[in-house]
Amino acid sequence: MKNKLLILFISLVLGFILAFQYQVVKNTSGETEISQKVNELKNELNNAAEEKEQLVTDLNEIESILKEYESAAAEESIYVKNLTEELEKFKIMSGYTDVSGPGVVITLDNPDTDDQFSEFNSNLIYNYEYILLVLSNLNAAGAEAISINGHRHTNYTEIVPVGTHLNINGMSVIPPIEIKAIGNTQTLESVLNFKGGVVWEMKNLNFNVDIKVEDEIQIQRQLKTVDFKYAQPYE
Amino acid sequence: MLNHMNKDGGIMRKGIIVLILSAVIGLLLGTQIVNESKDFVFININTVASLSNEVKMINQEIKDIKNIIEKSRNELAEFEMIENNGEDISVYLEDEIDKMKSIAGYTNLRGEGVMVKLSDNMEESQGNINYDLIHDIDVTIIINDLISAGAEAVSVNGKRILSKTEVVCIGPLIRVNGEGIAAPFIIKAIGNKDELSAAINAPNTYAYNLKTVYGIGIETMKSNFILIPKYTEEIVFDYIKN
Repeated sequence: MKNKLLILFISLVLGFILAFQYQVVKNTSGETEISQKVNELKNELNNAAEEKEQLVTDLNEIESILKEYESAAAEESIYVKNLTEELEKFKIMSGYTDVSGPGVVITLDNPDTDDQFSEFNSNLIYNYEYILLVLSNLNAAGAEAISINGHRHTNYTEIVPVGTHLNINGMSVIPPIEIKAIGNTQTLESVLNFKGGVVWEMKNLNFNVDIKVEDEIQIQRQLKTVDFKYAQPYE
Repeated sequence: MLNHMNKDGGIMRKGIIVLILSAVIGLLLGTQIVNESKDFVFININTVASLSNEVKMINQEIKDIKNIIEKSRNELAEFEMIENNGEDISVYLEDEIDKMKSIAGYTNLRGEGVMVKLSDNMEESQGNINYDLIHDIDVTIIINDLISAGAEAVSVNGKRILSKTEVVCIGPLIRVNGEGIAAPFIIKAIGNKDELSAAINAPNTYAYNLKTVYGIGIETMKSNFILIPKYTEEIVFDYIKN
């Protein structure tokens, strides 16, 4: 009698566990609805990526025609030539031209799992001021163009934590953060690498920091239009 | 004796039944668990959320690129029209330069916005004196917050802030655009004055915490008439080759 009761009890528990297990599986993953949704999204993403690539090609084509026109016009007179050169300069300044040159590539990443202190202290997203500091230091060393994970750093670039990612130029970015800077490689490297500097501080907190010097760095143009809603020029 | 044997046989049978049942349940459980872990890796609610976020981002990018393409097409059309009509191209170029100049920060700008005054905590210090001072990173983060709130132009103590501007500590001063400036720092920003003001004063913003936790002096003034000077240094590219 005692045995029977025991078996009954164990069966009940097992039955419950099975039913519960089934529910959990069904809720988290089993439902085909979710996998369908994922497939749909993946398709959409692929299509969008293709469309984007096509658009960038189109844009480059138009820009190169424009450039041809400009250089043809520049041959007509010195004045026009100077104007096109000036326009080019301001376009580089505002980030509307692809640029290349010598520079450094800095990769910042969260500490390895074994070396983490806490979720707050060991996540670059919550410690994004280090990214701002690196940028400021690079500027102090005379960087001529900077990009962060492929997004050109412009006068309107914000770097802000939003939940579990960073927003940069309105795009979501997660670590590792790759900063490219064109300029004097020696100055750019040493401005980061001094004792007590930002990289030293980050390494003390176990962040992974890698600095590579390269002879040729490509930085892509920005793809946003800027229209002032509030500001007006005055002399 | 017979009774005893029966009892023994009964226990055996029961044992076998329990064994079989346990094996079946074990199998069922096992398949369930395998089933779960396999699917769990590939698909869960987070995957869906991050995927739809990615889709949203890329669509935004596509929209941006389309805008840029339209702009370039217009430029091209204008260029061709000028060519065909035999007009002077320099007028068009001067116009383009003006547009680029203002985006690049080479024009004075005016408009509604805010003025923020940051001053060191002058009260009797209780702890680390470093906590009473305004540091380069404080100014940097506040500028970043203002840009994030849609600032179209920012200046600190009359120095226009651009992407190439450094804000670094040099002893008791902060170096901005190659020149030292000292506290109090006056930060001006043009944009929606309510949104800019919220970026400084809303609870849990960086500036709010500086003020309430560290006692740093922060005063904000909204204005309909903020003037921000242009960036004055000449553009020289020594390393960019195009």
